[in-house]
Amino acid sequence: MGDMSPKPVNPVLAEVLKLERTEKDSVSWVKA
Amino acid sequence: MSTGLNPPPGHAPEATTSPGPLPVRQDAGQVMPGSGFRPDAGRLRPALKLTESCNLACRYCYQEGRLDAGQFMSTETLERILSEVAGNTQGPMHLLWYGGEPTLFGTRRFADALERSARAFAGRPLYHGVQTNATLIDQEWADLLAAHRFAVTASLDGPAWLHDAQRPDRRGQGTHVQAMAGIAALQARGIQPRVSAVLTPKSLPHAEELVDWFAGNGLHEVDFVPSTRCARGRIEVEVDGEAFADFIMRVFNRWLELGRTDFRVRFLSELARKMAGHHPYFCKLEGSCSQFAVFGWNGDVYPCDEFSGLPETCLGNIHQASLAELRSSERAQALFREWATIPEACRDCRWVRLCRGGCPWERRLSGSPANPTIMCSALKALYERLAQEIPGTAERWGAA
Repeated sequence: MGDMSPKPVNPVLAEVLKLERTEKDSVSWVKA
Repeated sequence: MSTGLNPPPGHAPEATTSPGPLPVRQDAGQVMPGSGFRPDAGRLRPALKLTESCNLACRYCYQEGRLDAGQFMSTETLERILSEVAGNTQGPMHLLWYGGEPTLFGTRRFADALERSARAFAGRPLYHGVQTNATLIDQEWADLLAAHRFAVTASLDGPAWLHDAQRPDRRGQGTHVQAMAGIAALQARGIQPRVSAVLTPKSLPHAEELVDWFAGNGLHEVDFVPSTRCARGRIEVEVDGEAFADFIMRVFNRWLELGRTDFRVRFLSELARKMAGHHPYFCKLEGSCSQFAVFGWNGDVYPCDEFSGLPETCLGNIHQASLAELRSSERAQALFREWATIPEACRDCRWVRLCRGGCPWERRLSGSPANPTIMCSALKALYERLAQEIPGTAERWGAA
């Protein structure tokens, strides 16, 4: 039986998920 | 029928979004909790279109016919807008300045507008953003934007061969050199702009090349925006859902393959964050859009700029009614209800809790707001792929 543990999250995605956001980031218009 | 007065999910920065107790099958054709009109508008996010004029003549411009009007927002209109927004909101405020091309306003008038906004929101945290083609950004502009800690989004379609073909100036000359110079001026003052690249049939075959180009030219975040136009009340779709699905999956693969943790593709990174339970900083993923308001140069109010080519979606003019009146009008409420209604065809989709029917504008592009979004196939492919990449996300959104 092979390794059943979940595969690690890709480092690029892992970095995105770690991003710390501030109030300044909350402009979220599609064009801005 | 409920008008969905619950606040949209995750409005505080870094708040964790939750799928919430949303029935999947029973609510098709109904307004979903967490969406819809909020009369208190505590987190209203306004955008101010200082002008509809522009120094460029982009081939796909959705404001065609309004570009050389030479009309700019008057001080009286600006003051009226600021007063109405300030009086109807509390706490931190984010102002998005755009157009047309907002830098045509000139640094002197723009600085004056910033001073007026500081007075209108005195005692409250005030944040600014601007959407610009960057071609007029020089040292003086960069200094002004840096002094006010602006978040800047610059339009740049990619390498010169592509950008110049799609974004000529009014004389038909390419503008890549000027846009890159403007971006460099911003970077020299410590502003790292996000780049917005319009996606056309000409750019579609070059997904990997575009990712490489943006990542290799000192840019840290790019958003690919499919070209759709709404000129004179007529909607044109240049990049449909299937074409976008193929493009964005190729972008996704290349982005991960590059392995650059300092480079992001906006839609993909915000979608990944949302699926993992973070608040997405992207309106199309927020699950509600009644918190936005667009003010035209003459004081016309629209609930979203995507709809500003459709006169029937104008809520009225700020000189003729208060913001509260405009946003609670019968027309506004009908529009917000329509937007918050999950299309019947989405009821059996396993991703409905995450998607909520998608962006209302992209539903309109598919022929009717009662249809699934035109980007449905692309979104489903991305949801499936991200669920494979990030363990637990399908379970989080009730899609396992």
